[in-house]
Amino acid sequence: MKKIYKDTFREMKKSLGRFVSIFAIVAIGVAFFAGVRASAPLMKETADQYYDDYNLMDITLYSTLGFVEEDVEAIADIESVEGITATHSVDVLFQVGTNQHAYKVMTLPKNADPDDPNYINQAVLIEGRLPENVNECVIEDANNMMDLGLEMGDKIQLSSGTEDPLEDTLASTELEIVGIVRNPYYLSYQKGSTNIGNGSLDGYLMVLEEAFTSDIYTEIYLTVQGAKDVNSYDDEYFEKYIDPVTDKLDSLGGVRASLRTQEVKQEAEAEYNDGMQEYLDAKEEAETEIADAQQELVNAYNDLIQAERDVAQAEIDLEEQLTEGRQEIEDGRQEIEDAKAELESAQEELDTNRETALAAMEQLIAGIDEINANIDEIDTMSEDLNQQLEDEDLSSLEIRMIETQLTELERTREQLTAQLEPLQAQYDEAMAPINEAQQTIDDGWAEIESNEQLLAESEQDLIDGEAEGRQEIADARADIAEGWAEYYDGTQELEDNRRIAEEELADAREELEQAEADILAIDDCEWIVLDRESHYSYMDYGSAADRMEAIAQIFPLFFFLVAALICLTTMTRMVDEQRETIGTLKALGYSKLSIANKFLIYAFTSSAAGCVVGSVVGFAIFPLVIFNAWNIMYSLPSAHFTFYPELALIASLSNILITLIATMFAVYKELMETPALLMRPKAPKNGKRIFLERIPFLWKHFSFSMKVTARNLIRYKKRFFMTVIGISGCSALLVAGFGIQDSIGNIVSQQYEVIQNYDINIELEDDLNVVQREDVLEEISALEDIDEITTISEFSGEVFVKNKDQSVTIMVPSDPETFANFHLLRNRVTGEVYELQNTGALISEKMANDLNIGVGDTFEIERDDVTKRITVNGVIENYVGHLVVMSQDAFRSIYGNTPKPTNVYAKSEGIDDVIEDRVGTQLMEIEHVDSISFYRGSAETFANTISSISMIVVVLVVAAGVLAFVVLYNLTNVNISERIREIATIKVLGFYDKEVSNYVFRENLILSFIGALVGLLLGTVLHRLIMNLAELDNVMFGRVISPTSYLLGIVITMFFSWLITKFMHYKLVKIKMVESLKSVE
Amino acid sequence: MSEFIEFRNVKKIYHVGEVDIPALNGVDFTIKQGEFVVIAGASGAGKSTILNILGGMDSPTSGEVIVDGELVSNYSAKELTTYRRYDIGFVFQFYNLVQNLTVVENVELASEICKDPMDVMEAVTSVGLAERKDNFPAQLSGGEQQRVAIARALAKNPKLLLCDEPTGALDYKTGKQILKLLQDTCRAKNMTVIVITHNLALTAMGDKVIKVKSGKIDSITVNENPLPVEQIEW
Repeated sequence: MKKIYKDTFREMKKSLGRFVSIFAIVAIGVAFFAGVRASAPLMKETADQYYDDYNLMDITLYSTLGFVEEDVEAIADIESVEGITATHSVDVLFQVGTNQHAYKVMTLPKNADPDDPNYINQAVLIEGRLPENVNECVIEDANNMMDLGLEMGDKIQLSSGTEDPLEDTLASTELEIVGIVRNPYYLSYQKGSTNIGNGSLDGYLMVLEEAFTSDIYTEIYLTVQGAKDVNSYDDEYFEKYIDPVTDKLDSLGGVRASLRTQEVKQEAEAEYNDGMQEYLDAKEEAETEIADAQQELVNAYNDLIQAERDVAQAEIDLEEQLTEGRQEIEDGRQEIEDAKAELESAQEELDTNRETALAAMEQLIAGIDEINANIDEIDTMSEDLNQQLEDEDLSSLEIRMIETQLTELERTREQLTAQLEPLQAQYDEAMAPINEAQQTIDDGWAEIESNEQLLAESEQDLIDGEAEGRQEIADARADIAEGWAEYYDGTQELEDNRRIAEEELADAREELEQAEADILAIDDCEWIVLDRESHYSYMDYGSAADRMEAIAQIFPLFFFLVAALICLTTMTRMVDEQRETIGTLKALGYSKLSIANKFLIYAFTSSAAGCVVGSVVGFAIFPLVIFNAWNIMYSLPSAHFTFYPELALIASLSNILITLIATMFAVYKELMETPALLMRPKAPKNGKRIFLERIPFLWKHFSFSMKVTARNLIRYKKRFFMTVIGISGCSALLVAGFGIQDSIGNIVSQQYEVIQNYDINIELEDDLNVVQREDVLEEISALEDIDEITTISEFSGEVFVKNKDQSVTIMVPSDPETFANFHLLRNRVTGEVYELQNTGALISEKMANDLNIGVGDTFEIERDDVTKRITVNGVIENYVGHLVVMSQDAFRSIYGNTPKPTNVYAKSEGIDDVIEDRVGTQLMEIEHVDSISFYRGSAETFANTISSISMIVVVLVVAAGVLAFVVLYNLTNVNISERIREIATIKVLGFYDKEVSNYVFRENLILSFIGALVGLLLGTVLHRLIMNLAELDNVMFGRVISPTSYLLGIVITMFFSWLITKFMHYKLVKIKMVESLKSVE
Repeated sequence: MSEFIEFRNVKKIYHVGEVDIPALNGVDFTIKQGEFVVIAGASGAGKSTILNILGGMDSPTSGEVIVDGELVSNYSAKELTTYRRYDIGFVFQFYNLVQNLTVVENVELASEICKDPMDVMEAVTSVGLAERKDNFPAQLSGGEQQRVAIARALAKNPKLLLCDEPTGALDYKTGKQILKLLQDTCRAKNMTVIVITHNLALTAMGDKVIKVKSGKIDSITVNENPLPVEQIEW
């Protein structure tokens, strides 16, 4: 071995620290470059492998009219089609607890065979089993089954979310979950958009193909022969395999699709005509009904008025009758009194007549009385005699005697009786008229009595009649009041019905107008042939990989730059130290090249070793870490260590080249000098006044070490820039790292506290009429926990952003003034708070940025298959989702109809788990409430999802630390060896170790500080770059870095710097004064 | 007059690998306060080692070094630093000025860490550089630089001024001026000055001349009548 090489290798051994520092920075540079760059290919390869393993479709076909068997056969006949599945899919809604989820239902063949080429988009069974009948399904694995609160064996009730019942599509709408699967069709947490629910798909279910009832297929998946041989993220995949097939399919589609176009148009027209007839009928009917009802009400009104009049008349009549009746009774009573008086006077007269008559007949009466007394005496005697006769002891004589006496007596009695008869007749004759008069008077009394009876009776009748009459009037009045109440109810009902009818008719009219427009807009039936570039997950993951690739473009560049600078400084120093040797070798006659070789070999060896270690370590760590970090948002099988020779080679070659160039640069100047000059010590650099000295006020207050520091800083420009660049890199990484955290952390608080200043979003059922809606709102605001509400119309639409259709929420506040308290419409940059205009719309910032449009520009939005062009009035701050906000007028001018409120935003002060539960239950009990979502929960879930990105923060902080250490270690090393005499001198002067440290390292600290400040700017830029690249499609990360993060960036950088200082302090302590002073530079 | 400095059987042995290289092999001498001492000897004789040990830049392997009653040879590294800081002034062959500091600032560099420093301008004026006080070392000639070095050493008001070949890098005339400055300082301030030289002609100016040879004292001569430097020719 030539001695000059021996010298080189001894040099390496001797200056191991320097060798290692070049080795280390190159290793780090290569590791970063190759490692970070390898992540994107690794992601794509792993994904492609997954697609191939589970037979992801290459091409998807849709038709505006669906496919029939003949279509499928025609496609299968195309050459180079490997596998084909005609299938169905439908988006459905189901509810778990109070939350509604939109899922896609896809199909599986029965008894699926993974080797069957026609089994496309194969399910990867994670748990359970595949469905065996139409009542079973498997559900996406993801992380969200647990979040959903579902378990294996649970049943879910699906609904269509549209007017058409789901029963038309699926054989069974209640499905039992029998398994958990993954599917290469969906990689990402985000599943794209849908027309139902809140506009974005939450996941997917898989059912048997038989579960779909229709024999018209909605889509066809197919795979292409040979396409699995290449990576589907490569251009070759499309150019060589896919494009020829899509061309053929396009032309086939042209033929087959035109067959049905006519049919559709006719059908649609017929339907429109029916609809128009129906509308007219309904309108007429409604009008007639309302008119009838109106007439009825008018009649009722008149009747009631009449009835009121009648009652009033009846009351008057009654009073009259009563008065009359009372008069009659009074009259009757008077008559009776008169009759009584008459009778009494007649009686008196009669009594007088009777006494006169009796007085006139005194003798006659006495004679009669005497005769009657004699007769009585005879009767008494006769009786005695008859009693004697009854005595048995009587003798016949005695009997005869008695009988004789009796006969005697009889005879006398007869005589007397004969005497009495004329007397009696005389008397009777006199008394007859008197008795007759008496009889007449007695009859009069009897008549009076009966009249009184009658009068009492009629009085009773009158009282009864009055009560009855009054009751009747009261009843009539009550009936009238009831009639009025009915009348007013009827009026109200009519009014309500009129409004309902008006709304319904207006809706129907608008619908018809829409339908008319639609018919005019019907395009010819078309086949839509989509390759993977239109597949959401494929593109989403691909763009994640592309974003990673973009980051990989800038990120490692930094380490490259630092590596170059470090090599340059280190080698320059080495060359400086070797001046004498170079001079000697030159004097000995070695060529410039062979002298330079020593340094080139040194640099090559160290950097080559660094490349080998760096690429191995880089491939082992970065791609896998990055892959796994992304995989938190995607579900992919795990990736394996892959070595990318090209990347390793590129990284190594460029790094080695940079090192060699730096070495050449360092060595060139020295080689040009003459040996004599080289062997003399290098003339010390002149001390120079610096600008600070021109400010004596400042300069005077500097201590010496500070003066030295200040002068050194400005004098050693190379070191200055190196340190500043290196350290600024360090603090830039830190600022970017913490900034990412800020940006992400910000989103949640900004979005869910500042912008969306409400707690609950309540979705109402579709097609509520105006009265039902009022009722629901009333009920909601009546709830104790609800403080304030406002209504809004939310619709989902789609906007083509960044090469894919993204779901957009169209918001139309019912009352913009109240709405302002619920949702802040503010421009983030200017702080301007917008008011809604009569035309155009406000759009969210992320969407504006991604579409690259601003105020005054227009964009296209699709809703319900209708595409409209809208002018942008302003750009509003929003972080989650894309928003288009417009006034009702603007909506009407764009879509032709007035939007109905679909959602209610509600505020609930101090909401927590307990309140959420309570309110949730209460709300769901209200009729016509469809679903509710609480933003507290959304905020938490969202925070969890994006926190995965904070992994990057860790990587950045570690990288920053490594960078700071490498840069500062190298620079300090160089610094010390350059200034070793100066350091020895001040040691000799009696500076304590600590003072020496301060003297030397103050520069480092100041440089670090300057570097850190520069790094703040750099970090701000880097942060913005990373945010732009790493941003999710529908999430805008915050752009603001908090002062704390800047402070942390500086503090941590200074801490690293201080740590190096501590570490290098021992090196200073070990410097030997004597040797250092003796040796001449 | 009592002995100010005393070396008692001082040895300094360097271990290089398995070989012991004795730099000093039992050195004894004494120096009095205010003496102008010249230590002379050939290259490698050990005179710098003596100066380094005396100056607290190095410690002896064995033996005792007593300075002003203190046993310097037993000092710890930190005590040695303090000793250098307050008691010793150094002047080197290559000046060792801080390139980034002006004349005044170089002097202040030393004075600012002292307990009782001399006025900086006085020190600068005493070496005749008042006019150039704001110049940087690179703007000065070698002699001027060496004067700055002396001013820096003097500004500390040291007990001991140690000069290692102070004229080694200077021409004859300038060298003489430097030596005169040292001698005058010694006389004027009654400062103990020790000058190392390989130039035997200079021995005539010392109050005491110590000759070193192969790590040992060759001879110690006390000069009753030292010559002023102007009268010495070489």
